Amino acid sequence: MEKRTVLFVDDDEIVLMSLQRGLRDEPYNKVFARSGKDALRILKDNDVHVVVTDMRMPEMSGLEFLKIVKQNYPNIVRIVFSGYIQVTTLLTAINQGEIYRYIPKPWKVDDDFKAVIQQAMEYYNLNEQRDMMIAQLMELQAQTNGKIKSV
Amino acid sequence: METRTVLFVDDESKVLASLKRGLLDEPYNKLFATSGKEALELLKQNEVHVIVTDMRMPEMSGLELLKIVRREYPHIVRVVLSGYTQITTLLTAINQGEIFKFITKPWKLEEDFKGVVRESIERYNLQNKQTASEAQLTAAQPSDTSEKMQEEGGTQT
Repeated sequence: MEKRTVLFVDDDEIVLMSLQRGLRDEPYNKVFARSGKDALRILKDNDVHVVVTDMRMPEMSGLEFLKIVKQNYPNIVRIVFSGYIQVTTLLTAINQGEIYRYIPKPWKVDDDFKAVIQQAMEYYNLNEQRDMMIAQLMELQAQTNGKIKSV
Repeated sequence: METRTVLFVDDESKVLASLKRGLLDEPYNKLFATSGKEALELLKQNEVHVIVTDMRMPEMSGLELLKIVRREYPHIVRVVLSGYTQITTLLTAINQGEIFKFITKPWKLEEDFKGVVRESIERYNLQNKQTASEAQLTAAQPSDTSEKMQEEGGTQT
């Protein structure tokens, strides 16, 4: 399987650096963006499988970014990683961002954190396998229909 | 496409009665359970596509129910309908229950609720893009592919 890529979005450079350091040995590509705009540019040019984004960022909020990702790249698994924790923030992240997980800050790059990203990647893989199987089934069905017609 | 089925779980029969009345004309089958245990019984006997559950219930909590559903019926789309809205409840619902939507009580039937249930059914359909004939095809060809599909809950035969 091709190597998976995770995109981290946070306007706080210290957070990104700490992630970079903490996840150095994890078996996936890591890409980092300082804003939603940067992140969208990266998505255009790269195959990304999981996004992990802060909610509270200047210009484009995490929620806005998530909505665009959901719309334009629906297969990418969406995770929020945020300290700005209020009931309404969480509700909108779930209901409008349709997120897979929410990691509250403050956090540590520990085994739990790594496990969440690992699970997100597995979730991506499962979905991809399912879509491939459905495509195969549809092809089989088309072939079968073709044979039935020729009989 | 076959009619989809939505299971509603709440320990308050008043809530269920109100949903039953309010959703009368919605184009899907509705099932109702007043406990997690009853819900699991219904899941055994019926093909369910979306589950909408309260969080705070005696005996089995909504979270426990969601976790079981996630494990045993992973293809079912999970939604919470709950008035007990605290950060921790929300966090466990998303992180452990892997829910698709969270509706807060009191809910607005027309503006919110009906739309969310429909979106959940669409989500189910998107994830399970098969038509009945494909399901038949899977059943008729017990290949590796179909077995894997079954495991993932992608196939409804």
